[in-house]
Amino acid sequence: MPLLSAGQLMQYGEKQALEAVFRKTQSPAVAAVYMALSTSAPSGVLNSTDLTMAGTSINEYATASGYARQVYGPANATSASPSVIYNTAQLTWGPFTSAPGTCNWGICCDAASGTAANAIAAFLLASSRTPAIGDSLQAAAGTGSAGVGFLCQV
Amino acid sequence: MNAGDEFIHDSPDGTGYGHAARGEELTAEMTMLDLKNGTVVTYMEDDDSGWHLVSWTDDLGIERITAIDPEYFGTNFTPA
Repeated sequence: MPLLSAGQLMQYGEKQALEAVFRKTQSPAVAAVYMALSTSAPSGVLNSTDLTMAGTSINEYATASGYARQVYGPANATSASPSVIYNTAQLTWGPFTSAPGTCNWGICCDAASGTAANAIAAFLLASSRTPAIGDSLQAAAGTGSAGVGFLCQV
Repeated sequence: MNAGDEFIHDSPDGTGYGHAARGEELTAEMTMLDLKNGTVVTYMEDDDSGWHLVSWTDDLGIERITAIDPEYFGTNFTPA
């Protein structure tokens, strides 16, 4: 099975994109998508074929810690090749009411909660983070430059 | 409780959500990001664990979503 070693579309996202571009299906309606945090190790664990947040490789933070997925809020994809998309505002999780562990990945999905959410893309964090009780965890807004914010390209 | 209902964080001891969980004062940076007493939140939905998801805006103007322990919610939030 294809394991992720860097930020990329998950299988669900790849299929949605290809079918929309090649006019096989209509794109999903405009809606918010959400950024989850995952404790999966930086390499060798997260599997791009996990279709939903119920996937065994996803390992999302537990919600019984104050944690909740945040609205990703991307800009329009850039008119460039490769075209990129990224969050336009800072994302902040928490405050945490219990220590949620160490996160290594951001995973974009299409629902604010629940394991039925479709997993769209995965983003490897530049460095892992381990928030303590009472902390909030911030991620920078994207700029379109690699390594700043949650940036995805096809 | 319905999606869109607004509540005020009305902690009896005046502490923020993170402060209360930690049991001591937070750093200045984390205090800035805390869900402070007096903050208006909007109920969204319950997650699978039964915690309440609420949206709110922090002191930096960032839109946030936070999961609130339902027991804490019952004693620390009042209808807006």
